[in-house]
Amino acid sequence: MNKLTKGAIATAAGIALLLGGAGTFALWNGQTTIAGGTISTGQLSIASTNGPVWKDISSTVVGGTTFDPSTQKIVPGDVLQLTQQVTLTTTGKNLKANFTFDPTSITTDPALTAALTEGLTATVVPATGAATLTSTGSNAYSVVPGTASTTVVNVVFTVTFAAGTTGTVGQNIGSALNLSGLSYTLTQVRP
Amino acid sequence: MARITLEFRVVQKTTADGVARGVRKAAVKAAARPATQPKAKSRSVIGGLIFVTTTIILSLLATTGSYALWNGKTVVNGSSLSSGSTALKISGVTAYTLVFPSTPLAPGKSVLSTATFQNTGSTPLSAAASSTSILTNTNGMADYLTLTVTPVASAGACTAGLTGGTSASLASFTTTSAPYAMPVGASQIVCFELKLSATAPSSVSGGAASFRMNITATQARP
Repeated sequence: MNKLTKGAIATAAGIALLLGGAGTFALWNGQTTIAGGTISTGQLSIASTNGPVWKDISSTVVGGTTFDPSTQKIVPGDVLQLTQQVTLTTTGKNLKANFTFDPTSITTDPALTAALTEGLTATVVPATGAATLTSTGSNAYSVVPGTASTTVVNVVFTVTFAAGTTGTVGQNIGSALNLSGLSYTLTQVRP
Repeated sequence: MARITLEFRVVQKTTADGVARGVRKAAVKAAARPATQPKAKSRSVIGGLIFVTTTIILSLLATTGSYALWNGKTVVNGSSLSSGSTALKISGVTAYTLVFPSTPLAPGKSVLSTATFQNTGSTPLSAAASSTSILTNTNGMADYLTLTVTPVASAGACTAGLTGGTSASLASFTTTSAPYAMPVGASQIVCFELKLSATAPSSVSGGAASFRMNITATQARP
């Protein structure tokens, strides 16, 4: 590229820059400040409060409704509940979220995949300005924030061992259903 | 580029016109060689692009569903659930042989034996005699035998003529319901009474019979 061409390009670039800034470098000018304030971001988080509590809600039981997974075993016809309180922090004008559990966080023994079913129900602990939870189908809820920044929700995870299980299917399995990593998730969605 | 021009000039000076053209071609070809440098550069750029794209796609795949908008997660330690089992043993074994006294039967007389059903699983059980089959039957004796099975409190309570159990012809003996219920770890003593019919013909005398009975235990909801 010869020097003349380079020079021409440099000159053109300079003129373009000057044109772009036209009006700010010469003659009268004024300025005003707008009190625009600052903008804050919202928050979306979920945390467990207290420990999980197991309960035997089978229609017929032996020895009360308490259930200890470390010593007691499940059999066909059993329905168990795992209750966990979670606190949702939801702030933001247009914040909306989906609440559910992550099916990949639990492990079912292959022998019991047909016999065991899981379900999730969530109910808001009534409080002023609490968020509203609306069921959006199978084990999922839509969360719309209220005026309060946090909302306490009782989450009940139900495990059902099909009463129709026959023969000796799924007997004596130590880790029939591993819930030690059970994850509840809160995912933002656009309203 | 400068180097290419130089090569060209040298060729022109040292060769005849015709040859020069050929050599010039060669020179041009040679000149084309440096052009492979940018080619190599573009190849490395394409390689880089492929690498970056692959990495992004793989990262997206790995975090499917979690890369858009805000999200949070909490882990509940729900422990692990274990499944129970049903198991039935008869007097400590799964295939028990009932021993009847060797005293020969006479019409109207009976022989007695007991067995203990044991629930060795982790669920309540109800057991039933699901089928009976005659294994040996000499002189047609089995046809004149009646079996009565009665749950009893102790082996000593097993006497002839008990009522409250199930009574039927040996060959077709089953219990219609599951009369032997056992909580976890419990056992039930059962009295077996085999009676030779009072109307058994003399042709039956000297006969013998053996049978097999299947006991089926089913988990019972409390």
